[in-house]
Amino acid sequence: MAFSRVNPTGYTNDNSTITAAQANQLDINQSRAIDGTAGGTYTPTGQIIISGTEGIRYQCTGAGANIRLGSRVITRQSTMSGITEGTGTWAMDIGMTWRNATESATGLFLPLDLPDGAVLNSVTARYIGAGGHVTNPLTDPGGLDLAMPLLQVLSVDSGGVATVVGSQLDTAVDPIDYEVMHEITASALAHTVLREVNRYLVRFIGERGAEYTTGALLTQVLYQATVTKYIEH
Amino acid sequence: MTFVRAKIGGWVDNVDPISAVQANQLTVNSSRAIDGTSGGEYAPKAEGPIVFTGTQGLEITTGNIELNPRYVIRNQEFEVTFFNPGSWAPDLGNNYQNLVLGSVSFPLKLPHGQVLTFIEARFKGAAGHGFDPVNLGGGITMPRLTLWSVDSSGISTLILSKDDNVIVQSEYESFHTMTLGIRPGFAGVISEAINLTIDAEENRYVLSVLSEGGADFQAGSILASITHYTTCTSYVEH
Repeated sequence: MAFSRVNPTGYTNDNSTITAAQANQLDINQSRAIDGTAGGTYTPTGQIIISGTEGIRYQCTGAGANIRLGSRVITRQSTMSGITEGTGTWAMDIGMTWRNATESATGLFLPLDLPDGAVLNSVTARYIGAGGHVTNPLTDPGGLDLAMPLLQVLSVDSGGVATVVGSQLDTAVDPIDYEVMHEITASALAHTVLREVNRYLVRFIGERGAEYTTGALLTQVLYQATVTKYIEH
Repeated sequence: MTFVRAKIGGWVDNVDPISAVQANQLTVNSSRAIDGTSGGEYAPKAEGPIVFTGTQGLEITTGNIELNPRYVIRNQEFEVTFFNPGSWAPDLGNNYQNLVLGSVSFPLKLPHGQVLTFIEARFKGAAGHGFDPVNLGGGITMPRLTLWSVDSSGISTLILSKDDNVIVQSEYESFHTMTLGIRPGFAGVISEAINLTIDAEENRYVLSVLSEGGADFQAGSILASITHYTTCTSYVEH
């Protein structure tokens, strides 16, 4: 809690004594006070509440330009807004889930709203293969019956040049796994997000091949990132 | 303002007494300092705010900075992908114009862990309806806002739905507000409240707008904006 004065009425020259209790209280208070010069680590047992109209203004620079956070991993969903690379290859289903309509080597583009300065760890697509595949496993040795869906994470610079940050083929090994919701994760990306110069998106290419079946669903795209600071926007 | 030393240069044993002024300054400073051990409430006055400069700043090791609960109002970007292709189309200014009966869905960007309270849409019915009021047997079904949560399997869960409740044709055919939830500061019945704690890790959220329908359907309604009200009690990382 906030400190109070050890002698509320104040001292008077030649007429006051600082008692041991007061001196001790002063000493305890200063040992608990936040050091605005040298900094330090504080573990308050109660909240520090800033009220009134003045608040805090943060005008640090360099490494401290934003309020720092103890390193943590956040997970956030993509909105699934997007556009198809090829006409008619994917269509929006109810609930804004994407449904694969036709076989195509072109993709579905889904922009990613990533936090600037964070380290992107992984991007995951949640996907349901269409029903009716016959060959088991889908990933037969020759890989000829079905080219598996592909998740790509792209960074696009000011010149429109796309760089693959990471990618992952669907690794489901039989129709039982493939035709229910499962995850396709591009992991170990270790990519520092630079929103000032790049934009980011997912490019998702559906299954292809002799056993292509229409109707697969892309239900969610989410990312995990390690963040160490608040950002302005 | 920042504290200054009560005695520049410091005291020397058996030389310098602590004057009353110095002692008082010490106690006043102490009483104004932020208690980093027990916390407390502080209200910086005219000299404020508390300013952090330099390169070190603050770090919050765990959790997030809490906020006194506040309504954060945001206009939603119209990032739309059509569920019913051809039923709505953007006009100049990216307003959405209804062409034929159908719905259009907008993903909502909502802050994780906060509470979605209220949504409003600015909407104008097309001109030329033959009946008044339009929602009381006037030959059309009213436009509808529906809030959905979509899980990992693509399953949509209905959170709340509400029809446009304008009852006068002239009002309907002018810009008016369609609402979902209870507007902050207003009374309402529990069944009309949203009060949805946002889980942006597992779910995404979609607002669909179903156009008017029925025998007296008129093409040309316009959806100009969607605004959501969220009760925020902390900053979030993103």
